[in-house]
Amino acid sequence: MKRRGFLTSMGALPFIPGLLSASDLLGHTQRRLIIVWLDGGMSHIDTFDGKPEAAPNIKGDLIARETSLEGVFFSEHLPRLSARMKELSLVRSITSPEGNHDRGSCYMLTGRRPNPVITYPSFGSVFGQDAYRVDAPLPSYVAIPDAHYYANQGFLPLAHGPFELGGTPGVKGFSVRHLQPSPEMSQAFELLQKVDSLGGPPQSASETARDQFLQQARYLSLNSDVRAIFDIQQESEKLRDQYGRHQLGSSCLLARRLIEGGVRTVFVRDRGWDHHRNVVNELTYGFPPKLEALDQSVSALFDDLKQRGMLENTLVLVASEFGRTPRINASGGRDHWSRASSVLLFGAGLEPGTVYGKTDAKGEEPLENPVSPADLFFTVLTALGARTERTLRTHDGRPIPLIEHNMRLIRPLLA
Amino acid sequence: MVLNRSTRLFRECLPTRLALRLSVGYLILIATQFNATHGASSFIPLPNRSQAFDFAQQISPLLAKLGCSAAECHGGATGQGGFKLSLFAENPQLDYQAIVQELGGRRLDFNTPSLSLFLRKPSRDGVKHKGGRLLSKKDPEYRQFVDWIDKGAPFRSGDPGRLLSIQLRINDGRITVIGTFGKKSKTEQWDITNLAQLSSSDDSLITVASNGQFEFKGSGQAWIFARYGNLTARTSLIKPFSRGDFQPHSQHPLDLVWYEQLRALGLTPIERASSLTLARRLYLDLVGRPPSPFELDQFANLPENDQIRNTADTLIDSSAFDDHFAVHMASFFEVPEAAKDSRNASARNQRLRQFFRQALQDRLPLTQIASRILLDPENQQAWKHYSDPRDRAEYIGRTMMGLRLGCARCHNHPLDRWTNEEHLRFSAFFTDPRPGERGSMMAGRLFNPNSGSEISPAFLPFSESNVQKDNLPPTTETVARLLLDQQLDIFERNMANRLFGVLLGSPLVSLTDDHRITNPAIHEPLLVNLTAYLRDHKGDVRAFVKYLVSSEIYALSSRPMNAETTTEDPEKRYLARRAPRSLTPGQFIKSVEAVIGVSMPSTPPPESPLARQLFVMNSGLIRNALDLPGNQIEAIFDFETDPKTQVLELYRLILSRNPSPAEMASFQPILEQSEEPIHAGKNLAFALIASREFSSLR
Repeated sequence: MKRRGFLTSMGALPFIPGLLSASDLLGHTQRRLIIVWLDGGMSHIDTFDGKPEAAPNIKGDLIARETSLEGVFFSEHLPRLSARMKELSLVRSITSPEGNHDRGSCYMLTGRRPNPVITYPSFGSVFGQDAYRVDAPLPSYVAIPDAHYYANQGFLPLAHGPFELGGTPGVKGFSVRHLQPSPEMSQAFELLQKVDSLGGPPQSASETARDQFLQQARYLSLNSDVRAIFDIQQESEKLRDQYGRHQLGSSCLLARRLIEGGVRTVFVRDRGWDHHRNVVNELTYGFPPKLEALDQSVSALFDDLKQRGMLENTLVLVASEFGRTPRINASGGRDHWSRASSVLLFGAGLEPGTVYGKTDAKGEEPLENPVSPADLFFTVLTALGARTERTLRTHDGRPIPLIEHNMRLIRPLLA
Repeated sequence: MVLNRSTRLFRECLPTRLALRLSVGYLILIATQFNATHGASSFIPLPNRSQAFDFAQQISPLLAKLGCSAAECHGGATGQGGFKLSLFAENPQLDYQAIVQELGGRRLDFNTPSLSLFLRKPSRDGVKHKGGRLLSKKDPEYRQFVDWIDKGAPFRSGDPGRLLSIQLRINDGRITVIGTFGKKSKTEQWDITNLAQLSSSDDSLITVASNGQFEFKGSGQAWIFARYGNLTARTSLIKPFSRGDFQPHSQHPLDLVWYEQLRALGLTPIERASSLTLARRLYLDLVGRPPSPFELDQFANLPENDQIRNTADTLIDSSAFDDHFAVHMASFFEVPEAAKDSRNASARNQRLRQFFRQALQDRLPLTQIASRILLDPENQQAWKHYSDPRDRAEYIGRTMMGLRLGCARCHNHPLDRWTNEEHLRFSAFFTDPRPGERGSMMAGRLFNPNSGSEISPAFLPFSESNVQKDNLPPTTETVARLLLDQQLDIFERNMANRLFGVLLGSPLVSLTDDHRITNPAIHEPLLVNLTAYLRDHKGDVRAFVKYLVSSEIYALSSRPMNAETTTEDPEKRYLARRAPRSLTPGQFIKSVEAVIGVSMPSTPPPESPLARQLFVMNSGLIRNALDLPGNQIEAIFDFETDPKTQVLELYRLILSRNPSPAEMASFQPILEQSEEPIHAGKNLAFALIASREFSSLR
């Protein structure tokens, strides 16, 4: 049985209380989100906001070439994405006052600037909450290999946080932590269920939730078809090559498989983008070179989603906490720069080929249409069809609107 | 209930007297508070003030009440439509200037006040207003604005007096807000209900209209808050449930306070938990592990009245108590469990954890522990690892005062108790010393980030007495002296709340670092009692723990009254039944080690609920432990051959109780029919350890 067929067959899920229907899992109204998080701060000038006309100490040693969309310059090391730019969306005028890794990440991932008294939930936790069900067969929100601190549930209950795989796809011997059942597990589950049922009903909401998570753990562990969702080796060699056998490629491929399997949000974390020294080498050499891996993985993800008809239901956001200084420093690197950065998006709810905002000739700050991370947060959730008018509640009952009054919608980006 | 900002007596946040009154068919509990008096008082029940006028007292509150000065309207950072008011009207001078003087005064029409742009906009009188229609010409607020403009829009006239305090009174289903204003020789009280902003802590329980009319939507307790100027006051309202009366059988001082509120709420406490449940609860709470079968027997064989008291005496004297409570103390002071240490903090945290353990062994009172954190150079690392004095001050606020000071960090926040200046002055205590002349060290200096002027240290003005102590040396000794001053109780209240949370499952003030007036305790009299106990016993943790665990409230069953109800039933919410809670990852592993009798790798299970279940089922750690030689499960099968006894022993060892007949009937045959009883026994042991009951503290 194919994976999709298995998931949509009710017979495969007899023990899950309150089953998700097939439409919940794969329905076209249920949109999905993949965040490719370039941890450390991607240099906007060396990626999506090339400045071929700028002085050498700004444009750097990497050549920027015009993409398939006129007037948009990408690094020459991103040829695949350049070729697809007509079908992608780009915001080049992200601007934020937060130039520290943690603070910048907080703003980008939660739409809120850091607050000393409250930690806000991230994209994945609030978006997942829309259709959040503890009795769903698959977790709503998954992080590969783990989540950034600010990609967590914030003030929402722990159950809204990401399920961290705890391992890196693409690395030899990868497996999801504790997913593989021990040989006696099936029998142990039966005995455990008997112990639980004879022990009486749950006495609190947390005990009820524990029962449901146990069922989810059982479902994930004991069904090889479901475990296979986490196994990228099920994909053809050709497709794996297209994504790239490196960590980012394998993670993006796994993200696609999880989304296809019914996960609502996947957070792919790619570390190592904090290039204070020798930015050219850092981006173009290594195993694999950062830009090449990004180009290969994200363009393969785009092609794959498109080919499977999943693009209209899946939004992909490629972002990091801030940009990097337009001027190259004495060590040949670029430092933190939050006044201007870029994000690349495509898929569900977005107008293909839209380029919003523009930075000045030096890439120092937005020349037109400045966008705050808060605006981006609002726009992405809107494109996903999330109920943005909702009010969240802290565990002590304090109402927190999902969207603050100062968040603006970037309408041109929306389809 | 009164909070006076000029004095801001912290203890005035706490009701000191409860009055029961029957009104409109509801039993209404009114928390009253006597405020410091200021000369002779006279209550004049007039709807409006007489001749004297003050923009800050009569116009600004209306701007806040109508929402004009809210953040999403003109109170936002840049205002709206070119008109900027201060957030929640916290700066009347600026608001007056914006309304009366800006744009050459074109917002007001003194000849025909009703044609003023200031009024035509919110009433949508021929001009658009993006914020919608907020006023109609019939509204008293509209008339008040017209009257003000008609009189020439003064900022102040006559002697309106200074706002000293506000308080709430309840009459015939209506809240009245009374403002006390101090004049030269006397104080006056006025009905300011129509000027105050009223809100309910729980709209699903009680709603309150702007004129003070309130309506119950269901049974339970909620708070009404009133804000006027910079002051907030609150009162508690109760609509009782009708669960019938009950016969109290405890004379414990804590229980007497508890019974009183249960009666007001019309709730009946659930029965006492069984002896064996109590034994497991007590051991897990006091030493972090379940009791052994032998300890279980010892507990059960004591007379019921002595079970908890005697066992608590033994446990409290053990080193396991020190170890267990050292983890709690570390958590109170934001030192994480070892597994969560960041790489560069592990050595520091290790030292602090050791300090807490040693402090408990040495029986240091809580005030001494806090004092050593503040003063001992090595322990100061708890807060000195923050480089910014403001971060240090906020750490002290969170951990030792139960207060979040951070809101005042950047600017005056209208809803916050502390001003930006007060935050900075308190932060100035925590600057690092700097070299002085001739090699001496001088106190550090802090500068106002906006004005550049030097900030002189001052303790937070909890009371007039400590406001006057600015002449004390600007050192952390001063902070320790004032903070731990038992006149304030702030430290004791914070610690009593945290310890209650540790022992009863959830703290009385839900956010332990947020003892604001608008974040009331679920049972304020109980917290007052516990605070007083801790103060009177000079911060003795052991005495406090024993006092709490020997009360009836600690011994309640966790079984829901209605088997269908597992969520937020009133009994659980209002402490008429025990709230079960999950063992923390650390407690879980310690309990597994205790029942199997072996040490396990120090990898705690993940916190994510799904990952934790996967860990339990698939990590193999528990299975491996069950196969280690000499473990207690194997011992049962070595010494007992009767399957019935084996099942009994497994249940007693792991779940600290006897199996029910149904459980015995289910599992005894499994062992009997197994060719390898020890293998079947380990399977059953694993299922018991992985069970819902084992991972829960009921």
